[in-house]
Amino acid sequence: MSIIFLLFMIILLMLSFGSFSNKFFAGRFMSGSGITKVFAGYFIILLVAGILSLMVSVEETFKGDYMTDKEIEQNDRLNSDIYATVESGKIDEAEGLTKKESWGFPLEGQMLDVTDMNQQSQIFIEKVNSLEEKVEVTHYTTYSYIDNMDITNRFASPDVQLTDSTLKIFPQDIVTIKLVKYTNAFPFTQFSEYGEQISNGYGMMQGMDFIYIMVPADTEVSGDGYVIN
Amino acid sequence: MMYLTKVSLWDVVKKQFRFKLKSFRGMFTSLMILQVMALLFSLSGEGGGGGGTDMFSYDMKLYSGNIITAFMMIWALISAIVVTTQAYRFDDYTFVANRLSSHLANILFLGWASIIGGITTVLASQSLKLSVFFLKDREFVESQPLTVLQMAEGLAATILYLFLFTAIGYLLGMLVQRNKIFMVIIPGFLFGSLFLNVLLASESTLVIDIGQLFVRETSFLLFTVKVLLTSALAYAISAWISNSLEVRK
Repeated sequence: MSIIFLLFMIILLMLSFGSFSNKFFAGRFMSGSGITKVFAGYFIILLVAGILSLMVSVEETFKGDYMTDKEIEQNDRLNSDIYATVESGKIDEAEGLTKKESWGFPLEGQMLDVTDMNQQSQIFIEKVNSLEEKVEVTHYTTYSYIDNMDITNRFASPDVQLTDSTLKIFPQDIVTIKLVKYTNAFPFTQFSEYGEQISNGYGMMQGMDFIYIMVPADTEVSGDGYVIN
Repeated sequence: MMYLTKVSLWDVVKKQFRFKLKSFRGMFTSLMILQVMALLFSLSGEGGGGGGTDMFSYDMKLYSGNIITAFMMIWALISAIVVTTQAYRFDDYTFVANRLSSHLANILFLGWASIIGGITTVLASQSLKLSVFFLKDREFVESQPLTVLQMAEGLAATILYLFLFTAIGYLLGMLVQRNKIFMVIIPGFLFGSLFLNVLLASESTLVIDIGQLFVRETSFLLFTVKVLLTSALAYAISAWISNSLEVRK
């Protein structure tokens, strides 16, 4: 690819500086004040475009924060421990979890059937003494990012409904992100003290999703999900 | 007939410089053409990436002002070579001048061309950014929003790079004027080195290694010193080479 590009570039340069350019561009059309006028027009167009580009607010385009290298490393470390922490029923102690949404449903009877239509989330059920005739559902997630751009908020929580004694967890909306990244030419980044805002090489990371269900202690749970106690 | 008016070197240089500004206007035509070409090339993007899972997909296209800058460096190099050709050098004989004034006027002109080239390169890169910004259905991210200081440094660095390339071009041009065999040796060495670097992937070559001396410099002050010293050396060698040329060679 590079060789083809290089060859193409050389041919273009030959066309620009060789006989072709002399024949077609160095004639009356581009000579004398004509060139100055054309160049002045070109410069004005560039200047207007340059000023416009500075006026466009970059912050209004991509909605998201930029994570530091340290935050990403920490997140990766936490991700490796988080499943075991949640599985042991210590979700309150789990670090790096973002609480996305909570639901509360009145529960009639002592039976709960969990139907997972999502497949994306991991479901944990904890029986607690503090609840009576009530089901509490919470959606937690870990960080998601592209390169070092935090996209955790792009992922919506699944819809959760309780019908009779069946708790249904519906599929999450599919998230599609199309980005265009602009990097300044190397003379602009060469002397940068802090490096680029966007770090490359991290690729994509989709965070883990947890649906944590708390039910009264005397509830008999069936269906999908892992009952902690 | 004798004339008593004493003309200083600087007056001659100024006159020659003004003359060159008018007579070398064709260079700015090639600048425009190359910049438009570079912009068109850049619009196709420099790459991209993507990925996803069952629930998520992303697609990223990458753009940068590097292609425009690279094109302008080649423009600076070739423009300086063109200045050393016979047709351009013979223009100087319309003035009562010497080789030193001719070289100084050429350096001034190439410096001026570097400034114009640098400013238009930065503006063209910003135009590219504006075009990319309005791409439909895509969110825009800028990898490094620039501060005013970074922008000023970047502009100055672009101008210095172009000036460095004009100095190298001037030296190469003078070498060719000295001996036509350099017409074969220089492109062979330059492009051969680049091709080798591409073919051998990470294997470094001399041209690339010399380039790293400037590209990897993170201190703007040191970079400026390096560029100015190298350019001064290249122009000095060019002037020395030209002294061995015949008057109308």
